[in-house]
Amino acid sequence: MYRIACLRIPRFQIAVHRKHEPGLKGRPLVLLSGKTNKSTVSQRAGHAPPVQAPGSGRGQAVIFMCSAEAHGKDIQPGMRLSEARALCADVLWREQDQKLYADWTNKLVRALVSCSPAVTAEGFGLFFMDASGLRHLGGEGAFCQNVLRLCSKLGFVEGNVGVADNAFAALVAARYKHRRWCIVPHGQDQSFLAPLSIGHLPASQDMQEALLALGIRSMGQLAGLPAEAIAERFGRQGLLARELACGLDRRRPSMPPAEKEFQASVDLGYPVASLNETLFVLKSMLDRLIGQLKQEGLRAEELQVIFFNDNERFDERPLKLICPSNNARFLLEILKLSLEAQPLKREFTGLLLAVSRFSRESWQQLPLSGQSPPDGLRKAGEQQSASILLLQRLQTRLPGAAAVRAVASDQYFPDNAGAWIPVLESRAASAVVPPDLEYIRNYTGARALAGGMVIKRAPEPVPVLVELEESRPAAVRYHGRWRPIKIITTPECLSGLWWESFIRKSYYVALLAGRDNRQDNQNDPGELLVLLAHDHQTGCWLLEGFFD
Amino acid sequence: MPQAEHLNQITALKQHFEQLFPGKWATAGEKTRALLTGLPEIDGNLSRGLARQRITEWAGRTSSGKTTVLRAAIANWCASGLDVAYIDAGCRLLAADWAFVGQKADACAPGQEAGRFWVIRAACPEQARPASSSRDELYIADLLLRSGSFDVVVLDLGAGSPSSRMYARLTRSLAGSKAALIILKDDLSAPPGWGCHTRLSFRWAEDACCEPGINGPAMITPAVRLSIWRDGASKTTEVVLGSHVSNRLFTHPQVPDRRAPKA
Repeated sequence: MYRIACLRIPRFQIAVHRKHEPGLKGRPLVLLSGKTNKSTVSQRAGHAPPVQAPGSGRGQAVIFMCSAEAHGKDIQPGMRLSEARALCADVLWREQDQKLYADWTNKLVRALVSCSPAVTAEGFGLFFMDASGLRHLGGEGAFCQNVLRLCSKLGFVEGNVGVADNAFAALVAARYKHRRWCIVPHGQDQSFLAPLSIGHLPASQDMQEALLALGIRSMGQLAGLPAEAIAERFGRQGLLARELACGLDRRRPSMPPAEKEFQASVDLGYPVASLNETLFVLKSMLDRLIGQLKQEGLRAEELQVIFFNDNERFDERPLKLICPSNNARFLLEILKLSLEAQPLKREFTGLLLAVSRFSRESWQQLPLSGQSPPDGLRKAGEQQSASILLLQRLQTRLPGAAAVRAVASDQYFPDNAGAWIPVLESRAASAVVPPDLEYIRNYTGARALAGGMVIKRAPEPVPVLVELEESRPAAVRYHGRWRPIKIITTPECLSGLWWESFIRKSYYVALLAGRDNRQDNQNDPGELLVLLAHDHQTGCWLLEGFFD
Repeated sequence: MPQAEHLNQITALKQHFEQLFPGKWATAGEKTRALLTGLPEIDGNLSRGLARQRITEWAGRTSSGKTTVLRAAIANWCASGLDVAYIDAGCRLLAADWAFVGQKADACAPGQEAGRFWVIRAACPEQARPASSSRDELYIADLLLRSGSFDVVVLDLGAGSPSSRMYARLTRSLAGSKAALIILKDDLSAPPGWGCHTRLSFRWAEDACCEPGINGPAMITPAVRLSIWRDGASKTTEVVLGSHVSNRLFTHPQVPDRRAPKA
């Protein structure tokens, strides 16, 4: 008697993101299709996720999954983010990260091996397990309880288990009436499936509509039709659906593949403190690991170094690589930079070096023409590798620093009219609405685009007092002194973004006089050309930046 | 008189003539080692342009027009294929102002790539800058100079004033690099730093140009008064800045807010 169990974790991707960022728990969250690697990598690096600037153009992205809280606010998959925000202003979003989901799927498979020897993942959040021979181990009910308990321990509290003779029936049982577990007795798969809707079948929308039009609503009705007629009408897809409806599914879970581990450890037996000695030890370990990686055709994506002092783990540092590499010299340099930037606080007697993430080495030829590499790295060859090395050094030494380039965005507000995007990120993946520049190019030429004054914004807008004359600003009190306004522009009145955080401001460009007639201060900053804003929401006057 | 002394005198005389008649007396080697800004007001007065492998100070008060002039020079450098890196220590730049720097210009020859323009943001603007931040900026500048990937590196220190040790280290980094280093300072009162080769001081000129709008001035564009100091000699000139192009010329307006009354 062969039995299969199916574990289904609904909204698996949402659960993974919440596990990764506990602050997302209990809040409306949506996942957007169209992944950008950099943002997700930076999130995984432990930094705060990028703050979405209001109106920065992400609104066109399509939602592919939403949390129960978001669903409660009538947000549905397939909507655009802007539509979702119109329904729920405080909805949070993340881009989907296939790699993160795959990592967690593998983790779950490895954990589920403790319940069943054969475990196979069928996509994200769906696992099939061998459930045969459980009579003397507490029965299938106890097995389901153990599986769900294990999932809860790993942070996936929502889960359903179905047990049946074949995989499809087990999957339908896991979905059945939202019960925590559902056990289909042996030999009753077909009778279990018969009254259920054909919507459970993995058939195309067209086929399902055609079946409904023919009056076939349940799987029992479909199973009763002759196979030849189904094959003639719907082809191979129809036959497969009929087989599943009859309780015939040949899928079987298998033993999970052995996990590849690339790690080396050494117990020195004596304390080491100097950088040179540390690097000497690391080099030999790295050479060995890189040899293994090259043999398997892999490249390191992340290294992890753990230092021990008499079995006490006192330093652990993950090192993420901007570009996967299996170059030992380059990786040693990264390790050296990390040790120089954050020296060890004490001496160590043992260390462990592991390649915690790796990817397959790409042997694909780059496009000969047409498709161009990202703008930030246009120049191919040596310059590209030099740039990657430079960025890697920068990231290793100063994790807070970022090499960015400016991209214009078609927005009105000064803060949103452009965005800084990482130099390695292509323009297509950036969160901006590209402006149409043809008009400017035709009338003024490209040089005019870089015209106008450069503004340097204050870290925080500075609240100032303003003296009005005939409802126009005449003097500004800044740094404890009244400064007459020599010239001021007509206000630029902007309002909008009510679906995020309502902004209603009047922007003035004002030339403030250097010193008033009564005082003579050598430290006077002279004339100031400033961006003055009147926030109509709060009634405040703010000095938002200086033209320099 | 020894021959070396004669040569020194001749070199000094050539330099003097070069200042009087720019571009006539510099040797070919000196020309290739210099960077012309493309701004006639500066290039006409600054003999042989900005020197590579040297420190140039770009100083002025908080609001003096120095960054606008620098951006015009950077746009020209990028258009001529030079790579420029800008270390924005305080994260004070707005992306909208710099979005079109580094784009291929009309004047670029066919097949010629525009240079790269990278901004290195040392820390998030929301975060308080730690005490070791100047050390971080120094490290970034050192890294960029030694990488050999950039022709110009701009170090924007804001109101901070670099120490002599910092200058010494940067000078040492420049020795092994082809780049020109520009230190942008918001402090006009401090004297030129140790090892400073050229200093450009900026302040607003007396006259401010206003672009008229429908109900009054639409934009104020003051001229910039520029003093150039090099080799003990100093010259003053005035730079007229380009006109402002509003982003209202773009074609995709934001969704209008129909709920709120007009401001």
